[in-house]
Amino acid sequence: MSRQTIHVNYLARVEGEGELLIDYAGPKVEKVHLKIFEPPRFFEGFLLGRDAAEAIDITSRICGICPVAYQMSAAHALEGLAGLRLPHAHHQFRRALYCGEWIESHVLHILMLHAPDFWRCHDVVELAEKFPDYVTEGLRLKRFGNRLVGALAGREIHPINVKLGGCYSWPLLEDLQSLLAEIDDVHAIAERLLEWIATFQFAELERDYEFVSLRHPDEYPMNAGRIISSQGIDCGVEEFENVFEEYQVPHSNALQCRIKGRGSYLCGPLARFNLNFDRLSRHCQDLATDLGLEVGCRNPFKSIVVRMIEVIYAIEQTKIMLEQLIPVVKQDRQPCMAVEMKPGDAFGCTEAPRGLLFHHYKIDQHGKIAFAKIVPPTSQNQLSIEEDLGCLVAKEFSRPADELTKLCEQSIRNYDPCISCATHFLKVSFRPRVEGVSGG
Amino acid sequence: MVARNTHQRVIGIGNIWCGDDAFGPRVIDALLANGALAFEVYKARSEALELLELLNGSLRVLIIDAMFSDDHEAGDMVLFKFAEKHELDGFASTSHSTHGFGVFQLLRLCAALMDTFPSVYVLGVQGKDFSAGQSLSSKLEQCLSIVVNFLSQIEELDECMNMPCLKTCWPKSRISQSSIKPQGFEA
Repeated sequence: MSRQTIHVNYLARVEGEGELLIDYAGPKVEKVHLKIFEPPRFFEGFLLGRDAAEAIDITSRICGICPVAYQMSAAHALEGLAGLRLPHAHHQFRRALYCGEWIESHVLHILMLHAPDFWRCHDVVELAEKFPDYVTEGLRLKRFGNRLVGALAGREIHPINVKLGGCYSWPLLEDLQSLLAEIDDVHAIAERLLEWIATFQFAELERDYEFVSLRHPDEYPMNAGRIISSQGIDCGVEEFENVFEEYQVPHSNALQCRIKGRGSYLCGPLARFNLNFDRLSRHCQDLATDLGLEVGCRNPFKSIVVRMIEVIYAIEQTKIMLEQLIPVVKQDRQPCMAVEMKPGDAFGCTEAPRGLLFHHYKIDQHGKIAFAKIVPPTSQNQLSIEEDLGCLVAKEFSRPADELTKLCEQSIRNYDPCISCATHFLKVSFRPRVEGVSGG
Repeated sequence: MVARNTHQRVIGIGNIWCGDDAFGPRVIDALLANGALAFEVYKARSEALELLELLNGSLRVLIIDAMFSDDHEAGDMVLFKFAEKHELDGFASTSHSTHGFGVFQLLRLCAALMDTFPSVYVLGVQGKDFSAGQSLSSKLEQCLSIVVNFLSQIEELDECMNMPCLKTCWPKSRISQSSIKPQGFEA
């Protein structure tokens, strides 16, 4: 078999900038590189020396699609260190906010980035020409998610209302009521979109993933829980770095992540679904079962269906959270608790739309950040993405090159990778320049 | 908003916190301050459904947005006219990432979703400084008064083709639109 190469020099319909290179000879795959060339963004460096309370707003700037995830992981890490237990109303507030982000992020990915693959469309515009009604409804759904984030947190992109100990102010009553008035409509839209997505043709690929997600005693995980896996991991968030490790590969500006002594794992919707199916609402469980989607699904191409089920779940949760939040807003209770920061290590982990988002801070005796480490879901999934591609090419090598290339790109999009999130932790050391000496 | 002719709309797009990117919304503010207008005026974000709703029911629309192109200098004003849906075909290639979903892509998406597409003018004004801040560069302040004065005097948006100081007018002379980069949308 002659050696062939798949080379996509600029991946489209992913967040950020990456490249794909695969060398293969027949079913033998010699090299798979997801090359992330987006420059490093140094966010951990920006955090050093800043007040602990600033982490929420600084880290939210890492991503315009999932800023709430960064805010939540930072807030929970630092509030945990401060020994703070927030009142129930804040739990409702933050869960509703996270629902808003899941809705807008998932729908953006499903509709604009991923669905065009399934219909051989170049982009969402071509998809809109084929399915104008679904695309219009999807846009309405996405706007609902954006509005929810805006109403709760001050603005839709890079929200500003979350702070240590709660929020700066409760949302406006009329905004919550307006969202609630629309919620049955958007729920119906989401179900129609799910029915449509379930008709897509899914490539056949199954791998024996180790799924990793949070697990909460009562809830489908968003803001809290222990870290569990399908192969027996069950640890507290503070143990993350004992179980998982980041490492550098030459071909990527983003660190990759693996389970120590084991290798790749998968986080995100498919992992959450498989590890927390029993925490979904009965309605969402029934929807999934009716579509033949059951616990144990290992086909990454079906992640688009799981995302839509998570959107429906998030809408249901939004209704519950807002109904509980409205009396709090009417009573105009104190929106924030006093926080007394302590020195020590702060750990936070929440479920960003794309998967686990881990934060670790060291806070000094002055309340300043002395160390920061952020492990976003895309870096955790990178190795798994490359392994998917290897399996896919080994299985489908006989397809025409352009068709196989498209399938590989689609396979990457199964993960909804956010490359911009993943490229901010490259270590750089600066050395004093010595006069008269060049190079180095 | 001052509703005179509900079939004609002027829409300013941009981020008011990003220097020259605020050009579109600043034009709308100035038009409103001037009082009576022949058109409805709106500020909008680069959001598909919002633009779709504003295009629906309109006969003629002028979209004003700051731009950045390698082919232009700060203050250059470029007018595009799309009288028919198909004129957008191939005009706006898909952006590589959602971080740069620009006005042309939005228009293509709206066109795909609409049965009747209005006549759309897009006025792009080359910005100089898109960094954080609320002030326009001096070049764009000059453009602001030119555009506001002109729009305050006309009755029909079709007269836009006669706007003074236009550097280029498409389709009269096609410019290299491939190098135009949407501004103000970040990761």
